[in-house]
Amino acid sequence: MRMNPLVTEVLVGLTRRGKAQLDALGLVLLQAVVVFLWWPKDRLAQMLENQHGPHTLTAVVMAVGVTTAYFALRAGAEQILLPGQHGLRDWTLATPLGLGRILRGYVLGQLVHSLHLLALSSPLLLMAFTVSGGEWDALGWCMAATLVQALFYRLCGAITHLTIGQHHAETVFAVRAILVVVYVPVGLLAPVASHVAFTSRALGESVAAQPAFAAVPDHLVFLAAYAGLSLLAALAVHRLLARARRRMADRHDGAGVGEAVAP
Amino acid sequence: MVANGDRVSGNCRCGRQAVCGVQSRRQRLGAVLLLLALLCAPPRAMAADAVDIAAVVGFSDTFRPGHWTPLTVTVTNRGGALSGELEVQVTADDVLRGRPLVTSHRRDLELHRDSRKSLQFTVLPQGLSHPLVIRVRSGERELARAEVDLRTRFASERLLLVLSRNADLDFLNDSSVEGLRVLYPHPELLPVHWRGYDAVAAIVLRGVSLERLSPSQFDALHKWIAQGGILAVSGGADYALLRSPRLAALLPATPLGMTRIDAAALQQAFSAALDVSRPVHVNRLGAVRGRVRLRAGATALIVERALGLGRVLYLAFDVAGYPFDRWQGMRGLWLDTLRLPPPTMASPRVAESAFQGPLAALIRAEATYFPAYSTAFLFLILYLGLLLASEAIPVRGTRRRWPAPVARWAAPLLFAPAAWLLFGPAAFPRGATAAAVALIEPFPDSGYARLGLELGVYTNRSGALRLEYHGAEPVLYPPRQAQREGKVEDWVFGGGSRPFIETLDRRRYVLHALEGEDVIAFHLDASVHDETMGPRLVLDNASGRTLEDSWLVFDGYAYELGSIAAGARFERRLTRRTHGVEVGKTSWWQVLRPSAVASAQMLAPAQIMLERRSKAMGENGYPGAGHALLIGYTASPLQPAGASAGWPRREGALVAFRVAAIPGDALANKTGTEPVERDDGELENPVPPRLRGTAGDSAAQ
Repeated sequence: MRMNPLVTEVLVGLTRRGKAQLDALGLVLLQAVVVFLWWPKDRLAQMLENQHGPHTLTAVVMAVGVTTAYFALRAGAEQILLPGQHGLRDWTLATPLGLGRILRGYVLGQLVHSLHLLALSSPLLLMAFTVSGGEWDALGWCMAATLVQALFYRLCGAITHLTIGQHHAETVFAVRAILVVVYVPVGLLAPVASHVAFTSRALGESVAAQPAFAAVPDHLVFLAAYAGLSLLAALAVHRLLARARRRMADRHDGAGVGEAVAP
Repeated sequence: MVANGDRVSGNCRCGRQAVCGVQSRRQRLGAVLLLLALLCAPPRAMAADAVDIAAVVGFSDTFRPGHWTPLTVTVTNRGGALSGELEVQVTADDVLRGRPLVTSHRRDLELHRDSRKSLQFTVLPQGLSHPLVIRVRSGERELARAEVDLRTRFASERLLLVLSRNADLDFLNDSSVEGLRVLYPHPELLPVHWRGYDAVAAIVLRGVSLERLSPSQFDALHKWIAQGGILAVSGGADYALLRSPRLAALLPATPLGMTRIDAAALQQAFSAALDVSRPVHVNRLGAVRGRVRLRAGATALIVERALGLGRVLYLAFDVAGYPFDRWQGMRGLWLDTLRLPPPTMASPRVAESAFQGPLAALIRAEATYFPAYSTAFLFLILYLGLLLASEAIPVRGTRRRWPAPVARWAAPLLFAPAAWLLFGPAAFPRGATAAAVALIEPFPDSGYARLGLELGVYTNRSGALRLEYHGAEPVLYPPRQAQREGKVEDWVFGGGSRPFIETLDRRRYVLHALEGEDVIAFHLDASVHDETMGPRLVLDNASGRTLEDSWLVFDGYAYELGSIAAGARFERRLTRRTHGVEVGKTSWWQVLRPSAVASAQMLAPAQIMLERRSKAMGENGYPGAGHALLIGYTASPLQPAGASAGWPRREGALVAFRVAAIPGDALANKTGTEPVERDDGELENPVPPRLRGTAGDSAAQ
């Protein structure tokens, strides 16, 4: 099976030094601050008296969710590119690859990138996990939700980039606006589709009174919702890319395609 | 079959072979499924019908709400061999939370084909509105179910049990507030746990041998008497029954034969109204080790013996025979003889939050901390530093490809397991913990002790929480404070050879607490003699347990005794000036100080327990005037076992033995309870019979 060139590019990019790595390090730093702030201050006896455990894991997972989504949004808007990585428009306009393959590689590359970010966060997550008393399956669901959510935001970022273009200020504004506007109202109006609420349900005390698998339908709703939204976003990206390629073809009559990027 | 099917489809009149073939296959599939269903369904239905449940609640199917009661469940299996579980659900209303509160009692159940088994539970039905639900289950499958309607089976009065074939004591029935309900239970259905007698005021025994009881039933009866029960035994012509080992061990005297009492002497002893025209034969008693409460001339008629906190009465005459069967004064005689204590309300407890009790104090004393801030900070700094270094420091010799990914992922690969180990097993183990605080109060002259228990389980991860234990067999119930606050959880109590408790609340970092009580074998003899210079203590520790950091508190002074080894017997003169620490009558327990690791943890819980006892004693104080108190720490009688044996545990037990001081230089060889009045009846003080394998013996072993 041939490796998708977009995935190869992500894998290679992850091993190189660059600004994207420093951005990722910034996110880990932010998560470390959250760990430190939410580290249990009470003694065990006080926890038992208050009848709730430390919220460290919940806080860190929420932080991982937000930061990964923000990172994915910026990466989608091509504000963050791995060393040697090319933009989606470049792949579309400068290579003869099919749009389907490009999109598949883009999605897989995003998943690989998110997994890399989770790997960087894993010591922090495990620190919080040991003291908070969460369950492995609940943590697994939360990580799956983080990945799916990040994919959706990556595609949203891509749509932003494909519609706004290279205008830096507008892109920066749009990226932050999307994050705030989608993250906050969703948490308030549709908690079932909010990563914060999802994490709170999965790792918080309220659901823990029930067996972990009792909350599975909620988890599935979240994953299905974001998978569906990602599918819609992918269709939108596909349409935008097709339009861009059509325009390019109209303009240059197909000449020069495939020369900009070495596969 | 397939070939045949094809042939049939080929002969189809419609000529549409493919469609007919599909229909035929579907029909065959349907037939097979139907056959399978028919094969499977009857055994299930038959299994359900083959198991019968019969239940007897309380005594003679009568119980008293709000009191522990025995529930005998008989399961009959007419089908194949059965291996499953018998469950009894007791439901109460939790008014504060507006939901039913379910307590389940479970036992393993194995029944061969065409067999029957009776299992007894000790349950606490709080009200009448919910039936008892009894289920037989095998795995997730319910094989049989029965509901016991409590509304038709209750009595609001205290119970008087009469174990006799033909005695009629119905004249003692009284429906007033302090009344009595006389019941005639079958001896074989007597409780197997002493707490099953909770609603019982007294037991009358006539013409029935205790040898018929199972060992656990007799043990339960013995313990019940030791903790305050009253047993009255009627004499009669068949006095050989009273010489059987079990009764002989309990009775305050030994029947030696029959003796004749003339009518005048009887009327003088009882009442002139006693209609007696001819002499009456009563038991001739010897080896009296109690107090003669009624006599006719030189013949003892009623002898009483204290056994622990309870009493055993021996009526030397047949209470249901001539002339007592027709005497109107019999009711008065019974009430005078039994001297039933007034009905007790639930013991008042000073309102305290769940986290002011000894259990919480024990957990607090354990000082379990989360990994320190500084450790977490250092770890985070190291990790971030390494990440930054891997980014900033260029990898030399870049011709090879592998150093780059290694440098990139080395930090998380190293630090992830390090985080797990450092903050997990090394500094903060995950899992469940059991905590138990016990107060052991030996009963005088009995070889038994009351065990008051506070038991808690908690975990730092979510999930099922089930504690298996051994040692004591306490009845367990939610703390009263939790009941008042409406914070009672649903519990499952497992009985049998592997008792367990299981909370259905799966939350982590929640202390699931229970209170419990039991009567355990604990043979500690002590006498304290109040002498001029200070007390003289004579002690025999046959409890089989070492008492650590022991103190004797007496007359405003506390005397440190140190460790008292199991099996130790000693006599020690304690002088106020040299050995005593002057303490107040109240709050003297603050003099206790830790001298060992175990007692360091137990100090605060012990002080709370002693303070509680002091409050319960009221103005008299604790131990009270004329009494000494021997206290010491020992190992908890209840220990995690089975799957829970490896749990971390916080535990401690305090022995508190309240001893009546003997004034002056009296004999030092007796337990310091009420001085025993020796009335020899007709015999010269032989060694009283002692039952083999009683609690005292087993404890001494």
